[in-house]
Amino acid sequence: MHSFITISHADRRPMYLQIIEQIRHRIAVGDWKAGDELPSIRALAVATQVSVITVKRAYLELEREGVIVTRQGKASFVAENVDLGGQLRREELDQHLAAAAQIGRELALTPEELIERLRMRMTEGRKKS
Amino acid sequence: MTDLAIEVEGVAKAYRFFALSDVKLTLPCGQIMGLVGPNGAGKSTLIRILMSLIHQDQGQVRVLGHSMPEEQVAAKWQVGYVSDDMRLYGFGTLGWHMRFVASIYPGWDAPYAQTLLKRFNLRTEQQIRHLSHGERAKATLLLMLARRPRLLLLDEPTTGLDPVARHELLVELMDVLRDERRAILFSSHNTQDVEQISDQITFIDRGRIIDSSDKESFIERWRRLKLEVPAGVTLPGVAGVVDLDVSGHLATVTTNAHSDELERAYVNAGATLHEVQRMTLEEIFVANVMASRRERAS
Amino acid sequence: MSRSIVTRLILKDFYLQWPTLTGSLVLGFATLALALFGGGSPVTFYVGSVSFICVLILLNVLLVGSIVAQEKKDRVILFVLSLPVSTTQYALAKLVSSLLAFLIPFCLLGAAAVLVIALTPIPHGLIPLTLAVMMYVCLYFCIFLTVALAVDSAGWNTVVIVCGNVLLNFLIAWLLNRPSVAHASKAAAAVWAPEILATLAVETLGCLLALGAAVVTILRKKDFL
Repeated sequence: MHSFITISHADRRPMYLQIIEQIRHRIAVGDWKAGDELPSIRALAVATQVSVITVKRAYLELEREGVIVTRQGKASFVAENVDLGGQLRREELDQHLAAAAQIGRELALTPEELIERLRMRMTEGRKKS
Repeated sequence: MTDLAIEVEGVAKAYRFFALSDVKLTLPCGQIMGLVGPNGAGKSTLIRILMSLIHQDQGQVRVLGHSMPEEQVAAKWQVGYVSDDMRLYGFGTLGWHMRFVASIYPGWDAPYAQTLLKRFNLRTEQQIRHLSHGERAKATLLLMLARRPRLLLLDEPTTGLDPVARHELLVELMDVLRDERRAILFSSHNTQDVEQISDQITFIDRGRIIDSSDKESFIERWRRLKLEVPAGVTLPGVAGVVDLDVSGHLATVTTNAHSDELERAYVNAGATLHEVQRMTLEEIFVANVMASRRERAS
Repeated sequence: MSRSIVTRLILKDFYLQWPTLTGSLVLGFATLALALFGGGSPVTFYVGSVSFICVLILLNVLLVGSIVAQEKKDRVILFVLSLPVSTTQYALAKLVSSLLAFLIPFCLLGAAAVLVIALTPIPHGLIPLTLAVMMYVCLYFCIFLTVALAVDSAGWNTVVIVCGNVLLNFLIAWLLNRPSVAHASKAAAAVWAPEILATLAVETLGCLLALGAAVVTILRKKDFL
């Protein structure tokens, strides 16, 4: 039942981020709707073999972002009015930008040079579509 | 009723060529602690002290509220202990061992024992001496798991297990944690397992605890910074730097107190921050041990 | 609650020693029969009685080895000590199970030997000598048990075994050289020479002292690994 969350060791990102992403994904595709109850922290930890403290951190982060709501410190629910689709995509964008920034550093580009290349790509894209 | 599964304070134990000194450790109920250390660091000695197989020279040890070694029998009713050098009676069968343990512990869960038999792929009629190393390890774990002890003390539980058996064991161990009143302390070389399931992590080296903290704190505090150091720039001494490795114009800073201020300190001095890397638990552990040994040598 | 654990441990040791116990009883009776009923020739008597003593010594050594030393050597002790039993209770259980495992066949065989001699035309003068030798084996056992419990050393165990076997020869040689003993052993009635009585006294006292030392060592020991 809870086996949709799997931690990948090949993925170098910390485990709590992987959990956050997968929960967001569930919500974004509509499997978990606003108001649905999330598994308890301990139950999710047991089901995915990840330490309780990591799941707790993921839940806290999700709550801080307004994706979930925790009532009475016990049960957590998917928040109402969560614009996850847009949020997810923006996050994806940030990841791509981070990768681009990394390559830019390796090539010793200045931020301005990098922005210029981005501008060129965006203009091209608009021309095509 | 205490909510601390393990309390160790000021424990010391001296042998001819090795000594545990000034050991302090606490583990609350509902949590798992991974004990990581090189060979000969004292992991097994510490766990045996917790089980009163060895008596400490100094210091207080409390296990599930029981003072050890005075109350060791009371504690052992609720504590399960498995070590990788533990053996069963070679001429006995697994079934005989199960009946023996079940006759002692009223909490023996027979249906769960049957589930574990299937899951671990073991047969009751086989003599222990005919089992492979991995099967024997699983049999020993089964005998302990089936009586559902409140505290599990495991000395290298995954050593010698194939990846499938290891995964099954991790599933069972996490299942123990369903109950908030139970706790697990396990020692391991396998930092990947420790990193995955531990709530608390303790590093031990040459008889001393060199660091003990919750897992997420370790993961957040430790970073490797890759810097480019142009000619003429000297890197400032910064607090929280565990190691600084300079080679040509590149420098690698290992820190256990990562913060924005730390990064700015280098950038303000003229260095370029090329990359900030997270570290795996194994990398953190090795860096920690190396730093601690350097400190002790000086 | 935990006293029944100790009982269980003792019974468990017995269960695991079953082959050794029955084997020694069978061999013991067989060698006894050979000695006392082997046609009356000195050769069969000699062979039989020496074998009889060897069976007792073998029982002694095997029992102490497998009950006390083996568990520690192959780390089964870690499994047993993970059960709700203290290290002291464990050692005391070992002491008791070893004693019982030895004394039961020992007394049965000893009683059989004495009875057979007493109820047959075999000279009863043999009885004191037999008892002196058997009590020596008992003393040997008690000392070996104490050493094995106190010290975790194959080296010391070997020393005890070698000394035990060698000294037995000296004892028998010394006793048979005493004119009173040699003469009495052939007599039709049992005669208790002073050397025999002294030997028996020393042996009995020695057993009690050794066992006492074992108990004291166990109570004072802090580490069992």
